[in-house]
Amino acid sequence: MLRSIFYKEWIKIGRIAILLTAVGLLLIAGIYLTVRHDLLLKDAELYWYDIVYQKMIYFNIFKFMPLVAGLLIGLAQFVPETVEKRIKLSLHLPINEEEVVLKMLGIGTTVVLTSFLLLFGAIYMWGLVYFPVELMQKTAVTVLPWLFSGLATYFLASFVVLEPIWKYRILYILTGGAFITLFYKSNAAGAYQPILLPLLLCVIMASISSLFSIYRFRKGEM
Amino acid sequence: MDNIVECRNLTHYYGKKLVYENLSFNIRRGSILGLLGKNGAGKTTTINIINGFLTPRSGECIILGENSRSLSPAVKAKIGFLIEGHIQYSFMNIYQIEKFYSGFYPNWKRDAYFDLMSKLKVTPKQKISTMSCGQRSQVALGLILAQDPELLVLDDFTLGLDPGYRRLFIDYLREYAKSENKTIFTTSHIIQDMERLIDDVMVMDYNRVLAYMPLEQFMSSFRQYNFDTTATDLKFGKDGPVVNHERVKNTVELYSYAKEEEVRSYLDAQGIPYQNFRPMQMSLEDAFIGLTGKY
Amino acid sequence: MIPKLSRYLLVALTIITLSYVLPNIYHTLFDTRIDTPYIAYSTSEGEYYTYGQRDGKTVFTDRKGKVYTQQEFMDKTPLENFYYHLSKGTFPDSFAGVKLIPQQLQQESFFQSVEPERLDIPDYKLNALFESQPEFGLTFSKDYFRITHRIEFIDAKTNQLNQEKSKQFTAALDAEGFSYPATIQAGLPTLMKKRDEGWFIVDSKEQFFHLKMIKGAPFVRKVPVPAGLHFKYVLANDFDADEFYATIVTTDNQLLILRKKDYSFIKIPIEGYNAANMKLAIQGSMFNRTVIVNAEKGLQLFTFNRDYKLIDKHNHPLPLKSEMTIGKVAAAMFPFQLEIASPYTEFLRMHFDASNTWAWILLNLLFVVLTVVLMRREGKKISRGIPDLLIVALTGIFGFLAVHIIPNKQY
Repeated sequence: MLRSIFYKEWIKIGRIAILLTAVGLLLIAGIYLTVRHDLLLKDAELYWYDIVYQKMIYFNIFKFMPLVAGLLIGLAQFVPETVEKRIKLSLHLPINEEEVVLKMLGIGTTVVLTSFLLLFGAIYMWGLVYFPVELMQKTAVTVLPWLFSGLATYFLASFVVLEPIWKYRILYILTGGAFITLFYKSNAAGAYQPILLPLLLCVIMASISSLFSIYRFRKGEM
Repeated sequence: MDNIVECRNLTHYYGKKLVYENLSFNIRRGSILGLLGKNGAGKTTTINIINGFLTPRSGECIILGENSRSLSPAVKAKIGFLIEGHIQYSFMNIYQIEKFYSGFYPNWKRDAYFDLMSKLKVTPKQKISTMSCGQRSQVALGLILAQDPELLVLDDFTLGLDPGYRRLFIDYLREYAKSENKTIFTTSHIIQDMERLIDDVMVMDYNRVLAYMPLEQFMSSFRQYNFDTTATDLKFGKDGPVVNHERVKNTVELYSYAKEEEVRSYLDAQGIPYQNFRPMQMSLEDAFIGLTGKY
Repeated sequence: MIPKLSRYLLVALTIITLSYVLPNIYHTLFDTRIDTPYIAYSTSEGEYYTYGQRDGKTVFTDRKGKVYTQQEFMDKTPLENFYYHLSKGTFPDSFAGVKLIPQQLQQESFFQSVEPERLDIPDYKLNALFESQPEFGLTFSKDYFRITHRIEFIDAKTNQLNQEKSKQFTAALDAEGFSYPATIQAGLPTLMKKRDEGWFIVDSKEQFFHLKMIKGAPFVRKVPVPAGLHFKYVLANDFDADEFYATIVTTDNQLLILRKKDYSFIKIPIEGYNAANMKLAIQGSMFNRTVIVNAEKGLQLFTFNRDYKLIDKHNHPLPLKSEMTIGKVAAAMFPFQLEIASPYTEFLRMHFDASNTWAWILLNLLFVVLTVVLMRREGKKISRGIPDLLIVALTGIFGFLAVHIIPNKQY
């Protein structure tokens, strides 16, 4: 059963997930090729100075990449499930209704996390070529909230798309949008260090929100 | 008697708008029940309640021994469901969708599906979304046949079908149901050809059920009489035999379960002048319109 | 049951979001500015003069509230505003028997600010060590050092360790008894300074070291630390007034300086300072030092002679936002507010700030009543809505909005 569900989810999101990961990797390649270029052409110690003392974030262009990825994967996975009330098909499958939704979400989450893990690994490992580990640790702390926001956006996008009534969709988008801004409150590298765990908890709180939408659908909100 | 579906005293509202009150019906094993009604009469509401997509305000449906509010996976596996408009995962092609569904049903009848698909002129990689409505209906039907359920719930399957596909669908379905002893619950707002399929008929109008009986009984007892009249103001009491009537200039179409003599004597008793009184032949569609009115 | 759980999680998340967003919208719309006045200590008058705003106009007052014109203010502060008097030709020749030389006045004056938002910041723990005695002026170092299990120099161009230099400097630190790793490193990694004094480093045993590079070789000096001193911040300087190397704030909010001539720590006796939420500045002149402690509730000034004996002090209260209409309305509207960013740190932290009054209870009750009315109108059973009512009672406007944005239909 899980194989069948994975098969369908992969048809919906496989291509876009691979494409987005590729775009992310290209972005990272662009970032580090620029770093390499700048280190060669400028004084390397002054480039480090900008990062260490002037709070420069050399990978700022990556900022909204995970957010966009989470949003697009969420939409690609759940819009085809909801147009023409197709969600009825999933709910009619011989499997518990919550279980089927959780499995779909689980597969989507795995795809999103795999993509993010690749991107994170690329940013971190490639960076070690040019910078010491201290610098990469700050990079990690800076990138993590962006990745969290991507995951949260994935959860909230599915929650919004699965919600049957437009009025509530709009309310959810407004609140969800306000929530997502919490991940972009600082431009200083490493500033999110103390808040990473609380934010991760918030993301986990949002993870099963789609079950509420499905519950509403099953109770006849259409 | 062996009922696959037993719905008791269903009452539902959308907001403050009553859909129906105290609706009860059963579906016998091996029978085909057609729920006929105009658009918005509450057909899909009933389907949604049976499938557990809607919790009625009160009342309940027992499907294969389980309350429809919480059907177990085992019972859901025994119900084949065709969504209004033959909705399926149209981002897949016919091979992908078969692969997907086959993983859920241990008794999957692959051949039944591909037999039907072989008759469609579609390319192997063609997505369902690019198929014609008739082709899509065959895909949806093929999937249900492969699932081999005990109960088929078909929501307005005639919607959007050409006459040819409609006839094909209906004949295929009836033949299948009768040979395999399947039970079918179908709704439709297109009545044409429906008498070729159903055993029992339930006619629903806004808020109420107008008729619920075996099709044969309905067709033999529900009658139409036409006559000409000079009366200017025609009114029939609710307690009389007249179910409905339509008037075109001086000609009246009168619908009733009563025999000709009863109607004649009723008209005499009411002092309604009539000439040229004649019983008419009716198809199921005529009877449906006679029962529910043209508006 | 899981759908119920998912709803309560969503309600909680909505409350968290709203408790951040709504107060922020409120403050963005209605915030009022509180002007912090400039207060100068006049050495010649022995008086504090306040230069502030009153009803949109600039006003000069002394600490008794007597109002002066700007001219009078300038005349009362000849040493503090000596540039003005130099240009006007009214610069005094001498004061208290000391001959006044403008250059000396300028050299002896300094300003050291200790601002938490510039100290409580993400630190890479990588720093640049310059050549302190360059032949042709300061140049930026080609490498950065870290002090973990030893001191290591990393070349910026190649990202490779300079093993030889690392060994050489590690040996020098070892010789002074350094305990790895370093916890605090204070220096001035900029070319815009007058001289290089290297780095002041606190090790894992709270020992204090001075590290420099002189002619390519390490200079390490261990500085004896008075018992019971726990370093929080160390700020290096390059003041002309060649009096002290660094300013130190301890974890128990003591203020000290590290004197240059004998590497001794001198305590500046101030009171009521909290490094976590107050700014501090040391203003030095040829004759005295004034420490300004800037807290939300007001400015406290302490003036010391050059031996850090208190000669005068002054307290200038500031209006508290919490006692103004904007603060009172906020306290009544929001039972709590979620704060993430703070003006006292560059780090983000989640912190629920409870209202300082109980006025919000009234509004919460109102929202509870409103929720009951709405539930009645929608034909819901109050008994099944008790958890929601509790949420509204506890979280007021946030909960009220949350339980309606995430609706609890009773089926």
